[in-house]
Amino acid sequence: MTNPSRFSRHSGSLLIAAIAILGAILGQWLYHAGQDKVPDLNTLSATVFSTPRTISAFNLLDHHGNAFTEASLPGQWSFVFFGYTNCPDVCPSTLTMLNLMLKAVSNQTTNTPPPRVMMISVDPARDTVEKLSTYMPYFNKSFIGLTAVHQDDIDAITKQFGIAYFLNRKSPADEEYSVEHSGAVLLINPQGRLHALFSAPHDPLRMANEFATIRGVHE
Amino acid sequence: MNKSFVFLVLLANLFMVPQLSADALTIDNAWVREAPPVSKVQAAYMVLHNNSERDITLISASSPLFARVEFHRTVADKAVMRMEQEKTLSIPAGSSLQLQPDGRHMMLFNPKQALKAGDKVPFSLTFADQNQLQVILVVKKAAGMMHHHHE
Repeated sequence: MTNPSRFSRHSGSLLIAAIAILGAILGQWLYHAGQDKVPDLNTLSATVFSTPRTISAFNLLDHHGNAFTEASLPGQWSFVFFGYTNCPDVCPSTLTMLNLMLKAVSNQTTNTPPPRVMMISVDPARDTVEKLSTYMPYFNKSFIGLTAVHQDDIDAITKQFGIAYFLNRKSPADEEYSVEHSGAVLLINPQGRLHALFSAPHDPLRMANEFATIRGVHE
Repeated sequence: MNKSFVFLVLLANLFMVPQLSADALTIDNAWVREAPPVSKVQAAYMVLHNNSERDITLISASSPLFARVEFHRTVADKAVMRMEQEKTLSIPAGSSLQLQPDGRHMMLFNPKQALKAGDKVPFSLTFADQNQLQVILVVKKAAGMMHHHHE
């Protein structure tokens, strides 16, 4: 072996190593450039409000009987669904879906606090605090049920959220009436403002993924 | 298909007219949704297959474990979920009718006892030709609730 040939072989290996290192750097840069790019919220199935909406005063009771007002909202993300306990199909389906969504969110991230999930009853006359205290933990022990003393207190929040509902009461004595209600799930941000709306039909994994995107853009 | 947990029993063969037999109508994926203990209403789901050449109409259903059974359909109308009662359920010749979550279902009013997953609920289905079919549905937790109730 002569010196020149050894030198050229050596420089050849150096070149390959340099290309490999440059390639790795380029790959990392491209990867991070892709990661840093702000996701396009318009591609989500959720409607994300360009300016989160301020929520004005309301006065509800949680399923432990404690006051729950607009001041209870800030501090964490909250998913809100409107339903009623005398609902055989849609409400149990939606609460089961929200339970799966919450599990998916918990599996994705362990370093951020989990969002709250709440059902606001649009049927406070039948949905007492006591009834909700048995109904909500069935789906998930962390779920919060909200009701009110008067129907007007429910309207104070449904009106500002644009949530339609109708009590299908056939007569004053009718205790088995059904309730027509929006199937939407609303998302409130940690500043206590209405941030996004998910329309039915819902998919728990898609909701968890879109929540991760929405949270990532916001924080 | 969860045919294994559906037991079709022909009642009173004496009263049966030939066009409705266990072969003419088969039922699978039948279950009662387990509900929170305070619920006054529950839903039952099933898929009814009409294997005959005649239309079959289900006119009523009852269960000794519920005060009343009605046929309902969940309808999404401009994002508002509404329940519409249906007087009868028809299963056209050679086709199937799906009763499933967020769609058609049997609405079960006022359970006489709290029902837990695994409990069996007898139902009596009455058809337009006055034939009756006895079916036993098993109570199940909805998908995703299966591993939830470990205390």
